[in-house]
Amino acid sequence: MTLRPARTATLIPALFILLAIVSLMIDLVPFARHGTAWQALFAPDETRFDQIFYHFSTLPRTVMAFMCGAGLAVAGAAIQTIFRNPLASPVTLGVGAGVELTLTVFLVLAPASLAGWQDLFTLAGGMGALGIVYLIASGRSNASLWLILAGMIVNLLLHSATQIFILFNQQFLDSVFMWGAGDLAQNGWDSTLHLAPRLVIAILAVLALVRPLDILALGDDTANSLGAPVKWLRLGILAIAVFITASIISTVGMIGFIGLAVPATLRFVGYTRSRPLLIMSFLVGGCGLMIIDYVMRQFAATGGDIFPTGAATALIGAPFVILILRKARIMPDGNANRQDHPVEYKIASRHILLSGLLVFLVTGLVTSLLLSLDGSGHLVLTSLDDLFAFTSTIGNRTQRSLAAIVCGAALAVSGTLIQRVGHNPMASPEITGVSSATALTMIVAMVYFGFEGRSDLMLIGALGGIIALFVLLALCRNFNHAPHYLLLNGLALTAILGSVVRIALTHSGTKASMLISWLAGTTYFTRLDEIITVAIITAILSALVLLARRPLELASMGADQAVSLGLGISAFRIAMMAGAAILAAVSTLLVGPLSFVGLMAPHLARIAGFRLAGTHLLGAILIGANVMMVAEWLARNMLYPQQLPTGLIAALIGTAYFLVLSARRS
Amino acid sequence: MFDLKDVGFRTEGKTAKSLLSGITVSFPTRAFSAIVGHNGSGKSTLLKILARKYRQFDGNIQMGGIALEDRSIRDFAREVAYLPQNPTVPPHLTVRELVGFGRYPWRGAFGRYRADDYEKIDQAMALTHVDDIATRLVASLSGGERQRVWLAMLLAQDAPVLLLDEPTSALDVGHQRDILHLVSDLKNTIGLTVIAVLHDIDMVGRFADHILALRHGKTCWQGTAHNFMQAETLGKIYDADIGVIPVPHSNISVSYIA
Repeated sequence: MTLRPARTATLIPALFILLAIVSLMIDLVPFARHGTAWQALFAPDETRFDQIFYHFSTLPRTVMAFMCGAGLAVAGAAIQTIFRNPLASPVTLGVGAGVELTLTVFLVLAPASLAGWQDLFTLAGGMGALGIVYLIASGRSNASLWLILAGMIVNLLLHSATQIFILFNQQFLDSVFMWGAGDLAQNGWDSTLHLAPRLVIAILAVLALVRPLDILALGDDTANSLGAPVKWLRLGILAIAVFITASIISTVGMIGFIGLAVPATLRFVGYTRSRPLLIMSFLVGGCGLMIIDYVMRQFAATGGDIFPTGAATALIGAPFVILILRKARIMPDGNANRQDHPVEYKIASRHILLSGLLVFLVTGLVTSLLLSLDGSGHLVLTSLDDLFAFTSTIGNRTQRSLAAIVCGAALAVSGTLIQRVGHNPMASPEITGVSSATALTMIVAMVYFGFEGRSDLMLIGALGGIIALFVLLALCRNFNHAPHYLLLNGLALTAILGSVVRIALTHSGTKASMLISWLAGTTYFTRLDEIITVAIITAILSALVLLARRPLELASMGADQAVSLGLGISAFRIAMMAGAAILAAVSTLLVGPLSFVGLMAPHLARIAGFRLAGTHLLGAILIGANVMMVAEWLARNMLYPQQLPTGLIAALIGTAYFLVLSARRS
Repeated sequence: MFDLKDVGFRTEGKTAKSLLSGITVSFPTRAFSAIVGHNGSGKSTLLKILARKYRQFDGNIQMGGIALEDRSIRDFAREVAYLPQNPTVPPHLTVRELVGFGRYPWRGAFGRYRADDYEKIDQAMALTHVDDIATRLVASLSGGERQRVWLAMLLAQDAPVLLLDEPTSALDVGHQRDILHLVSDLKNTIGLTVIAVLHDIDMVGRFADHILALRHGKTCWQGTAHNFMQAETLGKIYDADIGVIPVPHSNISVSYIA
């Protein structure tokens, strides 16, 4: 890492503080003109609306913004130091999602008498999520990459769980949604005063632990030999950081990226010791969120629309992360290129496996059409007595099952292509942001431009997906052999898109409910002609890719070698990526952006022993189709007569599978 | 085989730097040429230019009488096989599958492999002695074995020219000797043109026919192996006191740090 001259380093905090003060001043100017600034600040004249508004809304909101920003940045700095990973943060490591889930469940289910225990519950949720992430990552050769990956996966898992939960408690939908988007708006001092003492104590505690933090930053072995109780120190500091995060998130909602971007940037410009890093994070984080919030308030004033600060923070913070990734090679492991030990592939008979999968698919399809669960958990065979009812039920089910199967296949092909061409076994349309981009363009087209026709939407979505994928590849073109750059850029991109989606959803009014169930991946609205279109597109593209399996294999050797062997790699890559984006887009229209099959199916296929491109594709297609079929049946029957979204179930299956897999291998 | 005239290369961007300038040299056909020089002297850059990995160079390069650029990617791959310094090892391929990709320039994306393709693959594996590890995963092999596998792939490519970027850098002395011995054997039996970036002075003196020495991106010396193994020449190239002792009853010399 290059150490920048101290001048630039101090410039950044100075600039932030200055801007924050300016924003404060601007707020106060109207009062200062009449000499009532003091009054507005401390004892508002109750007959003047502007003073009341300032004192009870703007001011607490500003204080709240400062506290949240400062707290999240300090928590992020502590977490980054402990994990020696500049991309760790409360939100990327799953703490946010854990808090979100426990809080949602708590708010809806817990009796009022337990209200006082809310803090404890959310703290436990956050710690639990962090613990899972840590367990998966620890003991791996490239733990820093796995930490982030596990964080992403846990995030998605908990987030889908939250969504399922919300879907069944629709009456809370709107407020939960605003909260999820990180709303800082205040109408009094209650929550500010509620949060303040907690944060002050916790931040002071972190600041007091500067020396242990510095020792932990040296690495476990060194820290141990210096006589530090590594385990307890780490647990203690993490608990404090999670406590800060949990308090903030449960008060104002998800405010991401401050905890990631601020400490990472400060470290990059040269604040490498814990004490200055923590202090500067405190100042810059606080002032930063204050400034963002100030800007957002101006939007609210002019447009009359609510533009949640948390979502806006992600919008601003995520590009920041991309920028840092481009400027600095800040991955702490010098040998980030190092691969895990080669997996011992089972050279099982692939033909048997393939035919087994096919048989399972067919028989599964038939049984899933005929069998269903009734409300009390008994299996029921659809009765043949009434032929008309029978055909219509079966027809209905066939349609939805087919939609799921076709999408499973399309996502599997898309994921295989992205993983192979992008040299990255962890990439997939869902993780790299292609699916979210598709969803985003569709939502924007629907909400703001009034597109209704689903074929139009499909086309628009495909375009959005392709653009996102190429933006991503352009960002990563210098790091062909470093998989984490693709993933982290993808993560940032997904966060940006996710926040735009949230903003769009808060605007969509009556469509919100429909959009949410679509985002969650229901196959309920699909029509036969759409399914046929998607099936044809998938079949054609899959056939083309299968024909091109030899260059696809060659692409896994890296650009230089591929060209040396006579393959025009860049054109080939573009073609393959475009195919992957189209497939992701068409399937997103049917099952939403979050199914995870695109990650899981190619991965499973490889583990099952499908090494070479051709069989890998076939295996992935069959596995993807099978998984989606099972997910669809579960979604239809698990809580009958309630219908769950297939995409969410698939995501649950996928992430759970992934967690089990990674836990076992470590 | 390669005729370079006044070749230069600059990095682009804000901190543009001249890496090579004024290189004029002819690499002889059917001979083992070595490019030597201190770290950062531009050896690998020159080799990458020859392999068309860097295409924005100054000057003029002819290959077999035709400008280097005037070939399609596939035609070039049929004539020139290149081994980078740290090739990406695909984690999932077996030795035989990897070697099989040497036939790609000839069969392309869709063409069926014929009997003579498989013959070439088997031949290449036999020549490099990797036939007994044919079904193992490349990623599970040791450094020396891997290097032989890559060499087998290059041979299966059936190109008359081999460009090797430090093919022996991570190997112990025994394996270094094996690889270079193999390459120089192939040069003699099949008539390959080999151009390699090499570090070890004694290996260069033992195996190379023609040597180009670079220093700070410029030609510092060129000539035959015999003239190369002189204390004066080596001292000039590496900027260090290096002595040379002739081995009695042979035409081999060995170097030592004075």
